[in-house]
Amino acid sequence: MPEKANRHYISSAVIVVRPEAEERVVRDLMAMERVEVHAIQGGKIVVVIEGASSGELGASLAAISAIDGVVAANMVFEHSENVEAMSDDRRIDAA
Amino acid sequence: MRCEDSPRRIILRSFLAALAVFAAVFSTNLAVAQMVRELSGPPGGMDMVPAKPMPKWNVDDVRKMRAYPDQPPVIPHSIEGYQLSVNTNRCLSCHKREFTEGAGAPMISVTHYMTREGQMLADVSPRRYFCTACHVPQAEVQPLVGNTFRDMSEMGVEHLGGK
Amino acid sequence: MIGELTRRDLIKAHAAGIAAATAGIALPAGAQPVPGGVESLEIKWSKAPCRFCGTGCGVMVGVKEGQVVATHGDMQAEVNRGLNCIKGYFLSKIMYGEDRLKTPLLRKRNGKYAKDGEFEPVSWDEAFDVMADQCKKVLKEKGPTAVGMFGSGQWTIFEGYAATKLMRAGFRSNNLDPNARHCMASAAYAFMRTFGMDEPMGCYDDFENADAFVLWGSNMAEMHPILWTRLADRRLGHQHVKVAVLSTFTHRSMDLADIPVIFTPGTDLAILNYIANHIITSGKVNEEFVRNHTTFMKGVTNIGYGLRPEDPLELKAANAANPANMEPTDFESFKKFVSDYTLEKVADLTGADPGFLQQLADLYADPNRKVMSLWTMGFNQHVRGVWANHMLYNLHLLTGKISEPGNGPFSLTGQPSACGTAREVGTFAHRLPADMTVTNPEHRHHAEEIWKLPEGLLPDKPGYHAVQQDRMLKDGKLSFYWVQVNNNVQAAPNTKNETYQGYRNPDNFIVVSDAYPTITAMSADLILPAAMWVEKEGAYGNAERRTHVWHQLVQAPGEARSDLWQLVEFSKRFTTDEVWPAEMLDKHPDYRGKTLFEVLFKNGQVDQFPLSEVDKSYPNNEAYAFDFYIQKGLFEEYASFGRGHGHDLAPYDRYHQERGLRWPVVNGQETKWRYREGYDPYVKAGEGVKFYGRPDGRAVILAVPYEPPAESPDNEYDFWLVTGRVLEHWHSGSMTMRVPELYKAFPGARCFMNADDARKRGFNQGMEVRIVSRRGEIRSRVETRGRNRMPPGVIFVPWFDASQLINKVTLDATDPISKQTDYKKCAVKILPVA
Repeated sequence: MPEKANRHYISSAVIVVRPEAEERVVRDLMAMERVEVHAIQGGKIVVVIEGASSGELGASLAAISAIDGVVAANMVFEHSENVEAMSDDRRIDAA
Repeated sequence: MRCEDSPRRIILRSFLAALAVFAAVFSTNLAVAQMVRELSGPPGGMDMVPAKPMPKWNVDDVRKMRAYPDQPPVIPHSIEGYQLSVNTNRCLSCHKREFTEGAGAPMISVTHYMTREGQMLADVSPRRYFCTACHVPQAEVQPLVGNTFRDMSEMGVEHLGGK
Repeated sequence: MIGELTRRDLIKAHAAGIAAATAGIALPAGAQPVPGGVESLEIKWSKAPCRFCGTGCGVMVGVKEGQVVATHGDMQAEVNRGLNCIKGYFLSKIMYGEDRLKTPLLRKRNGKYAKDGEFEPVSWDEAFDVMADQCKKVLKEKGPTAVGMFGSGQWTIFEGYAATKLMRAGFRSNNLDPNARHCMASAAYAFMRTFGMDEPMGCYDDFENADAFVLWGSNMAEMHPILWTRLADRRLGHQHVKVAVLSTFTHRSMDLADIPVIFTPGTDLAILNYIANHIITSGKVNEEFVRNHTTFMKGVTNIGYGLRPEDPLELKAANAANPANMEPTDFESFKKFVSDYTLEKVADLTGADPGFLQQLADLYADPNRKVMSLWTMGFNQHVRGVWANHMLYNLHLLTGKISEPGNGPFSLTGQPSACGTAREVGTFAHRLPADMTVTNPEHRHHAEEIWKLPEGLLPDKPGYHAVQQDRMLKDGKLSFYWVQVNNNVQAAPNTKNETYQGYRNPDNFIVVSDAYPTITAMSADLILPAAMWVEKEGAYGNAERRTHVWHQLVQAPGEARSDLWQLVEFSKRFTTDEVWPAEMLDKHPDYRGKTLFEVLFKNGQVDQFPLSEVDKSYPNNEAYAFDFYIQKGLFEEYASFGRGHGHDLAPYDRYHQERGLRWPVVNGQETKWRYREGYDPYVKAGEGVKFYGRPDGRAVILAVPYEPPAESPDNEYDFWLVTGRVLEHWHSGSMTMRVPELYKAFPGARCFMNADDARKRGFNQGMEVRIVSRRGEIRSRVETRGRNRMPPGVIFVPWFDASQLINKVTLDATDPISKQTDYKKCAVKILPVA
């Protein structure tokens, strides 16, 4: 199944951190590959994690959980599709 | 009434039609003709009227659809005599996560475990402790007037997985 | 900007959006899921305050195809952080009752207005023609004092402000009063008398900081459920926190009480003085605070009951004519005065458990315990309501437990803008904006200047207050009367003999603006269909001084129009020559021939913001109708009264961005605790605490006694009647009774009664009974179980049900100072239905 190798996975997660560790955890998250920080508020951080497989996402999440100061890291959303579809030239107008 | 089409019946029929038209005109004239005393008071303003009998509670235990996703579900059983105090919460004795299997009751939603600051707790948040602030039983009565609220699902929504 | 996004970006944004929603946090604007992708599922969400009580919860309102389809608690609203009570959750349905009024209705006979005619639909033009004719006729025949208006703590700030201008400056009548008179006039008067400024010094943040909560005649669990969640959160989450609940019967708030106190109606006054006595005798007075920040006064006693002057009770009352008088005294006299209120005596008078009374007194006395006192109608709807408020301030002032996090007396309100509109705008018969009064020449002059009106225009005599309006209607002294956003035929005391008579008096022309055919609307001569809540742009002010603005989100049905449009449009029908004295126009000829619309609203101020400033993504019917951003113009003109005087409001546009702000807003910052250095920008460095509303900077500790209620049970009328609300219905039920789920949750009023009392009289649960007073009677059903457990000799009947008009039974006694009705104490008998 060659197409399987070409799939791209996107997920999002909510990370709960100890308030005093928030800044440091955000820095660490930003340094991680394929992890983007989308929002921070009141000890909670929303991240988007990308990867080539579900396992890769899981590994990233496990790594996040291991960061000192992280109380919980829960996957909320997962999506996958063919790389072709995802990165093609279709543009969407948005405000 | 089954009978032949007599002139008499035609007259009756046209009379009824006229009455219907009259009623329609009359009721648009009196936009407030259909008075409900619980809403607009007794017919003569200050007249004394009998008190309706107390209705029974709905107890069929059948979940009622919510009017929109954000609505707290109503309670399909009676809660008369339920104790809800600092030390006892009869509602939670079935609807709390740990008890739902034994009781066959739906679990209270995850939002109820969140603090004011949005942190998840191991148990129901104290701010959600008094269930009846949001969840109410329903009496077996007809609404006093219709409500023209429209469900969002009737509004040209393409339902996911609907095909 | 047209951004170029790949599908991958879209999915990422979507993923982040879902996670953020799950966590209940907001994404930065740039990271919001991109609109368009899931268009058919989309709902447009906008913020608004809840339409019901004075808590002022923030809600998110979802609109689709021009209709509200969903509402939920606003996670970003400080007040409620995502929670709503059952009423708030059903806001989506309040506008959609099938019997919405869609066209003006006028009583007619043979094609013409007739007092005894039947309602017929008419155009707005015809409605306003007849209304203006009637108004002009009354003005000509009886003068401005025969013209009046009854408004509301549910009016938006703009509406109340437009009404006060139209009535006082336009028609030159102070007969303008809000239904808030029934609701918190006692609190407002006591704030003014004690601190020289209205409204609480603290805010809801006190809930997270107090060590003890004391409820004085407030059933917050049902009437302010979201504040109750904050209180419960604190109590259940912190072992040391204590809750005391005082009431005349056992209700849901008692479920959380560590110290439950049931007392005989009216005797709370004695409990308050006992606690003051306990604080003093146990040596717990904060002497430094008392010495530097308070002053002692003594009030006149035997002040009557606000009944009609010929009532025997009034004739017997020595100080019925001057009930508000006070004279200076000192700490020693105060100490002696309250020394009479011993634990033994007070336990005896009140019937309360002495052990609990002592525990309660210790909460206040203990210097290490921060106490938040809360009250609503139990205190305010009280023939000695102003005194009760004062006596509670005494406790906080004697101990210095005030104006700091967790410490303070906090008056709750029952209506969404009781504070914002009724009190701050000044729609009471004696008030002007920003705590000013009509009797003060400087205040009138200041208002005339801001309003750009001729000097001496504003009338100097206070108008008729709510209960007095009904009496004057009945007596034919008030003959043109406009009622907006309230249901007073159902709400007013002794309604069958007073209020209803006044509405149907052939001398009078009664106009009622409402969204639904309430009993008040049905008692009128002209009904004007009103737009409600998010059918118009609005602003409310909640109990913690929070001003909250919302956009119009949907259109009202048919020809229904907002109260603001009605007030302003009606003003076009009058010219100054018709309503102002000729001498005044001789002196100021510039105003001659102008319409009231021109001098009040198109005055260069209210009309200074062009339509270009209106947010194009929302409708705004009023702005487009009058061709300027009228809401902003009214707000900014109104705000100029308070800026720099302790009532500062932020620029209007900012309120569209915020979940409300607590005034005074100085240098862009809201104020959480007033009168204390470090929190309140009006208190200068080094001053510590300053009650700057009063010239001497000191708050008043007032010596007043216990005095009995106007009417108590006797051999014939052997029960106390207490009226009030239930959680599921709000006030007269005109909105909540039309929401099927809320109606079914509490379908009809009932008579809560002690089970032994019922058994002794042979009444069974659910049996029909007559509730009879000297004024009138209703039929109801006996409820001996239910949520309220009554002590012997006391019944409770809620007033939301128009088929059980309990206010036919109540007594029109008021606090003589605040003129607020006592709905909590009168004598009735309960009889079987023959």
